[in-house]
Amino acid sequence: MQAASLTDQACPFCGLACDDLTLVADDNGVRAAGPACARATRLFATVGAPVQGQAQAWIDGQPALLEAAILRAQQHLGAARAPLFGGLSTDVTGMRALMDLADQRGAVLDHMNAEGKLRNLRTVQDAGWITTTLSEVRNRSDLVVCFGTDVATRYPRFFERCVCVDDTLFAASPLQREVVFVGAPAEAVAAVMQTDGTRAAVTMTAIDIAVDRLPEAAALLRGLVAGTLPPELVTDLPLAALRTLAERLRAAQYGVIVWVAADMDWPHAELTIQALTGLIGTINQTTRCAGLPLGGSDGDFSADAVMLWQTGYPYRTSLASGTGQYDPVMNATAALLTRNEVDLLLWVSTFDPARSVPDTGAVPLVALTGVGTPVLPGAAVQIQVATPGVDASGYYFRADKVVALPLRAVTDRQLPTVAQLARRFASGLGAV
Amino acid sequence: MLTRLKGGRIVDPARGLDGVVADLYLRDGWIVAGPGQHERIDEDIDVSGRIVMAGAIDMHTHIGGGKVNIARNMLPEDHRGDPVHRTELCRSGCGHAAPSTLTTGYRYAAMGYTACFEPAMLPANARQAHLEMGDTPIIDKGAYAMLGSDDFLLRLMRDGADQERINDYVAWTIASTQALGLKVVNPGGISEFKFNGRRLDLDQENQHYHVTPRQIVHTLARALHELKVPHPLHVHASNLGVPGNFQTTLDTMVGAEGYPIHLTHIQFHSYGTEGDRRFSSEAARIAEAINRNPQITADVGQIMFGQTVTCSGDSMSQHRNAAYGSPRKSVTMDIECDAGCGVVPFRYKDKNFVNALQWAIGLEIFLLVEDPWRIFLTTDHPNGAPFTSYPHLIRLLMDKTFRRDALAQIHPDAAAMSTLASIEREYSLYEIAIMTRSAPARILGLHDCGHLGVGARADVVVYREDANPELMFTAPEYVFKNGTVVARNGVIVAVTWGDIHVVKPQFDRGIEKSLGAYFERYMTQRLGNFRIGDDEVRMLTNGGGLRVHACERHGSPA
Repeated sequence: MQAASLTDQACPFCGLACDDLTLVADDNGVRAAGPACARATRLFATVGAPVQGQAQAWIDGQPALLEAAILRAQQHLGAARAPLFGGLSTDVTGMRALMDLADQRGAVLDHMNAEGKLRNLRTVQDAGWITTTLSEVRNRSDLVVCFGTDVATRYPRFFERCVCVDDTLFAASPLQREVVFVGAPAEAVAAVMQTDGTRAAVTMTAIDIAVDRLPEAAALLRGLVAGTLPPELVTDLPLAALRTLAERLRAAQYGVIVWVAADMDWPHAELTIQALTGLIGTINQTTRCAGLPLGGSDGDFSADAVMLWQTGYPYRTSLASGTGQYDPVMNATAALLTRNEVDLLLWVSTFDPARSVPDTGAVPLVALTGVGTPVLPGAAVQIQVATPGVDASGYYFRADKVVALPLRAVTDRQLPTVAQLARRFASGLGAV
Repeated sequence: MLTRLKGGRIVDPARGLDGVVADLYLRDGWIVAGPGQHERIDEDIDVSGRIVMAGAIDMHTHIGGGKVNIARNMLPEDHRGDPVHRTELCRSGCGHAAPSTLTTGYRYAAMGYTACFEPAMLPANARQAHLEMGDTPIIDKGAYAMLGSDDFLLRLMRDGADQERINDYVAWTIASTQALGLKVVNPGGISEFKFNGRRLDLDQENQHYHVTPRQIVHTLARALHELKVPHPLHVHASNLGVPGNFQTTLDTMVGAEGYPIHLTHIQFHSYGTEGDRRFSSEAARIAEAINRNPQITADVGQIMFGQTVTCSGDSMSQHRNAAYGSPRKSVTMDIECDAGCGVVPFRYKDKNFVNALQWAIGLEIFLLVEDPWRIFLTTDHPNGAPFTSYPHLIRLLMDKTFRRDALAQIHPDAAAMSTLASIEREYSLYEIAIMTRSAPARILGLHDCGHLGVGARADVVVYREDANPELMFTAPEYVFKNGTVVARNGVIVAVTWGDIHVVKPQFDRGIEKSLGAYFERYMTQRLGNFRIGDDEVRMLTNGGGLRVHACERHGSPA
């Protein structure tokens, strides 16, 4: 095939959705030639690899014709009385078609990233928050606090694109800023400091706090900002450093607190997030400060946005009763499988082949997976699908939930898209 | 396919028809004069004794985009009170304050509305607004792009750019976001809030750019006038909700210096500071100013008592109002050097003095503005109340006894401070048809909507007249969208997909050179990915069409 090179393409492999990539597509597949990070380079190469001569569908682990696999999947969907649509790592276009099918089949919907996102969701539904977006961070922030995260591990180009930049809108020379890592993994922080941190205008420091002390640190920081801590407080946390940080937050013109809920894997992490959003609220009584709750990877904000506008509810919603019933605990994939409350898992995973499929036991698994995903021996049906931004077009919601970037098909591997399959499934089945 | 609606009483103010008995012919989605020679009438529907109007148009309703999705996300408890089950025809969803897109389309259509306009489309979030509008069935849609606190415009103004260049940017924004008009929200104030300003009066300079809200309103109103965009600048004025803000509103009218402007949800901008509580109605002065200035139009943004949620681009005001939220939670966002938003759930209570007076102020404005061609029926859905309260609102306007009974229920001090009890006016059906059909079509430049003349889209509503207008307007007997019967007696009987309405003002493509450089230098997305093309927006309509309206000045109001 003729090599095609396209500039200004958006990357669907993390929530930053950098849209300045140059993608080259030829007989060797798709590769990111532009300013792509290592993650994007790797995933474009894996997920965008050529597929000639390989099976594209499997029934019970054996290679099958695509049409046969579609019919078999349809049979499973038709027989299921309590289907679960999980994974949902697709884009807006795939999700819109899946929602039609889910409503028709009365499915439960859950995303592979729901557990992390739920920590933020509980905060929003309970108290709300004040947040900002990537371009505001880039142009305004004079203090960036990365709480419990080095950010770059999950969002590799965050500092390059949003913090360590030459030009900003409101400062004549490079904006002087401070980045403070609180309780972030030391090695990863050191790596950021050695690369992005070498910019003259940016000062990076770290406050060392163990992960299991982060909830306490957030509460302490909140108290320090509000000035409500008892003077005799005794703690072995680095109180002086946190006090200085609280003072900096109160003095900054536009402080930003970044957190990655996916990494906050401890019970009731929403209380830690509420401590952060609470202190942001306090600071905004006198100066400006905003949260940047990063997410959006694996299409989680894309799937979520579609669910919200089409049903009113985020994922972990069941359509079994004919209307949306949202329950973030009962409708979790693992819980439903453990309790034997579903009789089919339709698993959709188009972006990252490393994301594992849950063990479904005796429950049939129909998996729509991107290129690079190994053959799943336990799957009743597995169909290799196009990936949005590689060989399917669509839309991808970025980490700030504001910008929806167009994804373009840069190659054609004759793979079905998730949307096409969802429509095929729906058209072959009557109403429940 | 030719359909005849036989013997209905036509109420079509665009043509001056008030209850004239006549047959109406619909062919292939359009209204036609009658059967051609030898043409057979395929379908004959007897509507004798019924009121026949064009489909209603809601010119200001927050139906799609990021802030509505934030509201949905925040309010599962509200959705649970109004679950919507799937049917053979319709998808499931939720209703009430922040309804799902599907339910929004079904309910508007069942109520006789066939076109709705999203008034606050942030350019940075335009694609989401179009995605959501695309998933809103049956009704036509369109949106007003928001400018006025975006850094690109404020930089142009600070640097003294000439009007022509600003016009290019305005036209480029409308074209690139596939908008029908332009809105300014708290001009310069959303930007000011990002610099920690908490208030920006009409003649106060934005602390960074040193331009004033008055200059912004004037510049944008002039731009639209010179670009011949039919809908005048849609203005959400400064100081929303602040007691005493009526003066800002009056000054804003003057500040436009004769350029036409539309003042939106003007109820929220008509407050005085009289009385013990320093909160009073200035509806009379506002209405008088509207009456005096023919270039001014307004929609009311009526509040209704009960739970709702306020979604606004006005981050500054919403942050200030967050303390009054119920339930007490709120989201405030600074957005992309472009705009902002604030979402605060609200429960308006009839026994709360301020809420009760807000309710009365809205009704006073409706009843004191003399020309129904220049005042529009809105609740600023969902900010004043969900759109499903329109039939109740219509009854309040048409039935003074009903209105007085309602007035007797509200906080007595508020009732005492309102002139509502002394206002005798009752809207006629004809006037309701003006304010919900003919006038919005005219002010938006939609030549083929809002009337029943030959050449109009066959968006037609057939009502059974009822002594109680609330019943009449809740569930019309027939609703036709593009000639298809989509609803009967409040029940959806067919699901179609409406069009998206846009304008395409001319501009010098040279502006894209500066914008491209600006995006690369400061923004976190590329210009080419920001723009929404015709093919793209057409695809997003789900099979509806793209309707491009001419940029030309329409005639003066009747």
